[in-house]
Amino acid sequence: MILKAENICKSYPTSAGPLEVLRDVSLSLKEGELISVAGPSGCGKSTLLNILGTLDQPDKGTLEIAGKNVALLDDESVSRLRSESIGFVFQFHHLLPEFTIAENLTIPQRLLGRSEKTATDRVTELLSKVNLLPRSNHRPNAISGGERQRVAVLRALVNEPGIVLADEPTGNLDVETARQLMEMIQNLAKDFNQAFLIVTHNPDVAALCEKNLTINEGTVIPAP
Amino acid sequence: MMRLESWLARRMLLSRKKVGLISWSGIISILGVAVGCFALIISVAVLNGFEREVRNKVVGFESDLRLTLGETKLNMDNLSTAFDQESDIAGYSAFIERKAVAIAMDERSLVKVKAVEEGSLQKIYKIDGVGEMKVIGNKAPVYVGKGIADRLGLQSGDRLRLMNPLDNQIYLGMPTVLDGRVAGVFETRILDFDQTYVFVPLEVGQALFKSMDTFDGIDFRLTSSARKDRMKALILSKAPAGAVVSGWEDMHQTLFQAMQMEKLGSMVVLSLIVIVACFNIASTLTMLVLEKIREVGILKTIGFSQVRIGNIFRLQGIFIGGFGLLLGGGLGLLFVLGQERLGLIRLPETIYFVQSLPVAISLTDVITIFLIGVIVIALAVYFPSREARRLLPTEAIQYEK
Repeated sequence: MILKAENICKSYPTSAGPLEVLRDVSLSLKEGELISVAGPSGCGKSTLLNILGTLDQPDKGTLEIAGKNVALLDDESVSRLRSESIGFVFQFHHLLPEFTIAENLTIPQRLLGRSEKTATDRVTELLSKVNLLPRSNHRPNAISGGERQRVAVLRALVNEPGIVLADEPTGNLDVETARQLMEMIQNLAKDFNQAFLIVTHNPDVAALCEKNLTINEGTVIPAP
Repeated sequence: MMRLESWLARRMLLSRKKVGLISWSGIISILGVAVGCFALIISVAVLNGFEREVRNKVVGFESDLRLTLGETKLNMDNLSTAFDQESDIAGYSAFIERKAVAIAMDERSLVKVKAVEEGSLQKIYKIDGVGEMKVIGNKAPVYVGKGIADRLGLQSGDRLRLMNPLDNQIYLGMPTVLDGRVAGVFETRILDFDQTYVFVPLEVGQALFKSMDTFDGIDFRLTSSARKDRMKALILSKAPAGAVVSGWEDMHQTLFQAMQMEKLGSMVVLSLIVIVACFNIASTLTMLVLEKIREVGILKTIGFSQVRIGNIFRLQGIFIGGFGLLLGGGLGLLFVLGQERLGLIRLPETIYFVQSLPVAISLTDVITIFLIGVIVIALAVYFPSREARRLLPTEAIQYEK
């Protein structure tokens, strides 16, 4: 089990009292597994993703990633764990605008202490896989939205993390580009045996996943 | 790992994404620190330069060491034997120093009469261009400072009488008056020496002050290689109990302390320029943090820890401040070097007693100035980098610019 969350609770303070977003959520992810999470807006999908990605902390419950209890780790160790074991894909690409495509893919690797040559070779390998090598020296604003999102997926995968958390990865793309991106995700998941947890409203995307979950009133249930 | 942060800091700082406000603010911050550092170096160098000139003049006029005797009487013959054998003593002279009234024609002036041994004017007191001190004929040779000469309208060869009203032993008796001739007019251009001092031969002074066979002390000129502390101890060991040995620093302690205070004061005041410039750095960095909130979120998402995020912004502040510090410091040192070698800024010698603006800077001063800069910059970068560290990745990544 690469990720195990048990009894996760999260609420936000509001003027009308605490708003309970997640209630005793438990789920787990195995290597190479593709899971979709759906649910209405504001139901807590992104909150769940942020907690599972160690970007946010639950009020209650335990989270284990790669066998480590996240609550017991300091910021440096959590950041290291995030860098090694978790990749993120967002609805908007969130690439660093000052850096070229190649640099955007090099930075996470340099953070892990990989040499410049190893990092560059890996970038070349990944960009070739998705036919973006000619764009390697372009900045994000010089390529199309679909290309940016493909680069964002590559960035999530570049350190070969065990888990990739994707928040509406196709939400900002047209149907054809979304299909291509999902195909790419499926192939990469197969090639690198990575677990994907994808938050999506798109039934086509959900259909490509092995397991479909829904968040309803703060709890996670299998999708009908 | 700091290499990665350093690279990111440089790239994010030099990013041309927003050339407007932040770039200008950065340039102004750099210039501010540079101006502050330049001003600090120049002011300290000028103060040092003037202090050096004053010290050289004072050291020239005063002796290196002075033995004063208080009430003790000395056997000069015994002491001479001991001092003559010491190779680090370049020369010495017994002296009497008292106040007297100088009378020339109808003008009078209170002066300090310094009676010294023959041949010591040049050798001990570095007063050049007035000839050798010798008693010729029945008129005592008197060497007067230029200020006194101007005040009394004196020239070489003029008659000058010195009156001592203080050492009169008989009540209501006439004060001792010495009939002299101006043998030379000297100009030291330091403190009030030219307005105050007249030199006479020792035996003339002893006659004037009715202190035959006694003197107030001995002035010593040391060789350049002599160690002052050792010589101080040596002279003291030869002198009778109760004698005191002091250097020119002790004799003019107040003056040099005042100069040190002035230097410290100007460093504190001019450091304010650097402090103000560092407020600029802090505001530039704060703006940079605001500009890069989303990037901070992205970096945290891909695994940058709080410390590393802090490092990126800290390094950006250090780049801005460090560049300003090096720019200002470099230009300041270049100016000091140019002024020292070429004398670029000239001064009217009649007013300032030097031909060009004197400058001098020591390694300690440079290190102190750079340390001031580094400390202030470190404080300036602390708060913006702390804010960047504290940003929550979930909020930062959603931040709308």
